[in-house]
Amino acid sequence: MTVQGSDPLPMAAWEPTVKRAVLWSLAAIILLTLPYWLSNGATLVVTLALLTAAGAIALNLVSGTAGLMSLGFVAFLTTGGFTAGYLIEMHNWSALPALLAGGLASAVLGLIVALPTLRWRGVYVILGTFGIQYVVLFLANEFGRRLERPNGFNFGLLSIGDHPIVSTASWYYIMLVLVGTCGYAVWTLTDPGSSRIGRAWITARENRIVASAVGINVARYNILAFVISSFLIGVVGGVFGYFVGILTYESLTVAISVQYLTILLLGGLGSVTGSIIGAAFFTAVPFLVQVITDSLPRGLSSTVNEHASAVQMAIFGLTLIIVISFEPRGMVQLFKRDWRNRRHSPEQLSPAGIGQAEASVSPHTPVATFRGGLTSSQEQIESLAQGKQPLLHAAGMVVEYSRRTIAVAGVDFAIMPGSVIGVVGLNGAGKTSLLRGLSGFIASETGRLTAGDVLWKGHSINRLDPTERSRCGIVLVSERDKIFKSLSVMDNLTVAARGSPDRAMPIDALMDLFPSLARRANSAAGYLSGGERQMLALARALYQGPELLLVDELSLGLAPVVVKSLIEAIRALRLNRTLSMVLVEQNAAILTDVVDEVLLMANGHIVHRGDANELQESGVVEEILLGVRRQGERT
Amino acid sequence: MNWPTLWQIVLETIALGSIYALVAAGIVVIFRATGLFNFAHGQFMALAGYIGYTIQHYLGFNYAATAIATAAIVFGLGAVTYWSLLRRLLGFPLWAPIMVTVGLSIVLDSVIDIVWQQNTFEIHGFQAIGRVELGWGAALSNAAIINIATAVVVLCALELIFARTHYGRRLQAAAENPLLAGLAGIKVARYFALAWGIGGATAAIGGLGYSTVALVTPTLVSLGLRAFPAALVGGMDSVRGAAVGGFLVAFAEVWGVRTFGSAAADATVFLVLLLTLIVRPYGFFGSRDIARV
Repeated sequence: MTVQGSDPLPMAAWEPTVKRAVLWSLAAIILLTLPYWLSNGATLVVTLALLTAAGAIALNLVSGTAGLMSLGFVAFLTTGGFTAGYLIEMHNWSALPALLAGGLASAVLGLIVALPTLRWRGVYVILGTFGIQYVVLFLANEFGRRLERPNGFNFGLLSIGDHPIVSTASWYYIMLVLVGTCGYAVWTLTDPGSSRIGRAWITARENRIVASAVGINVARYNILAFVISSFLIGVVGGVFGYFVGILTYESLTVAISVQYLTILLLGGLGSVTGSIIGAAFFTAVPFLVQVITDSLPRGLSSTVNEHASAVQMAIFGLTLIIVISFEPRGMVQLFKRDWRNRRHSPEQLSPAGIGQAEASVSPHTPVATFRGGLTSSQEQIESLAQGKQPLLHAAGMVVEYSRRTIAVAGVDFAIMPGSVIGVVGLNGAGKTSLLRGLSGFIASETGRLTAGDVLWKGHSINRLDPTERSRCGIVLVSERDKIFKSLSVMDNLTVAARGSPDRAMPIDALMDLFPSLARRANSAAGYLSGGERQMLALARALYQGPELLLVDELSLGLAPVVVKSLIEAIRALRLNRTLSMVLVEQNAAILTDVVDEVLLMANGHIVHRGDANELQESGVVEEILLGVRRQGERT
Repeated sequence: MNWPTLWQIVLETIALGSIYALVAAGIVVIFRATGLFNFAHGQFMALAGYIGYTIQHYLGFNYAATAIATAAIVFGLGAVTYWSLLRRLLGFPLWAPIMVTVGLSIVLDSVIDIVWQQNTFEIHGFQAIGRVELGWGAALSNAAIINIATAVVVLCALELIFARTHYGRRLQAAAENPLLAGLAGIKVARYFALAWGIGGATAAIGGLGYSTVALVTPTLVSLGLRAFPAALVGGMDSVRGAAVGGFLVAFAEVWGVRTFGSAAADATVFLVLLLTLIVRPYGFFGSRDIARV
């Protein structure tokens, strides 16, 4: 690299830093001079928004960063506010120590609350924290009554030195300092780049089991989040008391907790900026409603005015519903530049998302040509010429999971009525995704058919969901989770939707096919062995009356003798040539006698296809799939 | 505490408990099917009171017709809530759909506020006037006795639907594994919407019943929220558990209000919730997953 060539690089690296510095300075100047060019009323709105933002930032530490949805905000606000008020009014404490004491009292409550919540998961955290605040509000009320302060505590004027804070502008600066301190503290603590604690929180939130396994004490970090968050909320409670003058019981309601969690979700969980945006929106709604109302015709505007607070809350509630439904990551996303990849998926929101991709493959993997084989389109043309239509035709089918992970990279094949096809390949070859592409994905899965067509008797079924496809006659026996554990064996069969009677097998026939199921008809399916589960899954599929039966990994994890009996069942089914089947297997040897054709998959492509015995003899299968028995050893 | 007082507490507990049992059963039906808490359940209850009043007052229906019409309307509300707002969130982390119901509760509060202005109304129950003496100077109003009978009938019907019918088993299958149920040809979303409808209708019957002994007021919302501890104590997935939880929570409330005054109603009930969550995080009657280890 030449000296001249390297020159622009440092400049380019400097550019964003300079740009950022300029932007930050500009923002600082605007923030610091705001009261000078805003009206008193507008400054008050901004001041309120800042106070709200401080509380939201503090709550965000527990609900966003640590991922524990807390509906107990007002319990901490009350504890902090009342402690500070009590010390100020009854013991003449000065502001700063009283506020810190309020924070500490709230932190102690946080510690007490954190301990039981460690045992709770998900919705129970929401419900538990929701319950805690009722108890705290009641105790606070009793506390005030005993102290003969039934209306709450009088904070008096906040003074700094000898200067009482009276003007809105002064309050604005105090709130600015409050938000700045809270925001900076939380941001520094949670930044995964620089803070070990921040990384631990993220790890614990994403997967607590893995976090524990790598030595992170999840419980300790959750307690830490609760304690710090409640300390900050407690301080905010005290400041709120000063701001309103008298902190009354009536003003502290459960609705506040709901509002704050809503603010976080609106803005975006886990982001300091999101908390500020959410708080700004929440504070701005009443004023926006007022502005809009004033512009309405007089009759209408007076009606709206009559119900102003209800209309405001309705708008707030509707916004919450809309934001969660369409951008669960919150409004903060609207300010990010990531416009290209805006489609969110459950997986992005939750590490435990369903529908994982098997493998990432390039769509350009070369496809080996099979000696003497027919391509599906040729086969289809021939079949059509003979007046036969394939039952199912996959044409250029591409299956993708989120983040552009391609699992099936454009495959073509046809299944003729009554034929049995085996699909073999290594882990991650795309076999399961191929079956799922044929049987359909449900909306919450990340998998999609992104190109090509699945034609069922000549009609595209791309838009049908798994239920509709199963009702058409395409029935999948999936690899995992194949039975309803809590239902009895018999109920596992009869819950399924039954297709036309000429195809659906009666219960008696199924019990003849799988005698071990008949013996356990009334026991819960959760107690069945692996082989019996596979039989039950097959039986239910047959009960549904399929025209095309898709079986994923018939032999997976089963003893050879069990596999043998399952293959016998498949062979028996094959005798009536009306049922077509696709059998996906890693163990190619067991398919040889039951399938008409074998498709060999690798990297999302069909790399070989042909007669099972022919493929076996050619050694191609063995070359690709290690561990397959040699022909001589076949039983 | 003397025997007559205790007897009166028991009777009050049964009267209030039957309402909680009904509303909690609605929560259980929804949770069992979709694994969700409906935070707007209290609003469903309050809405039922107001709709019931409106139907009775403007259409002149008797109580039975009012109850059926109201239950049908709130059934629709529940089903539409699932179908239009929650169906698309299947597979998302649980907080997303739950917070959507929180949003819905805010909206419904506003609707009640705008349409009925937080007013207080009266609903006339069946033979509601009069009371039945039950010894030791204690008595229950006719309305309360009708509520107890209604609760018994509705809870038994729900128990039968879930344990004995094809619908119940399909719902159970869909709840256990929605994808597998879909592959088995069960129209999962439709079943879930139906469960939300049943949950809503049950809350409506509870809300109307309570309105016949008390009044239609916005405080019905907090009554609905207090049914959450009842459902949780019962284990969230059992109608029978919801009944027991309902009576337990009602007892805590009756006792708490007598001891500390009416302000303690919420606190005692949610204290029961917290103690249960601490001792048995999954309630006392909840069935554990059947799994072969």
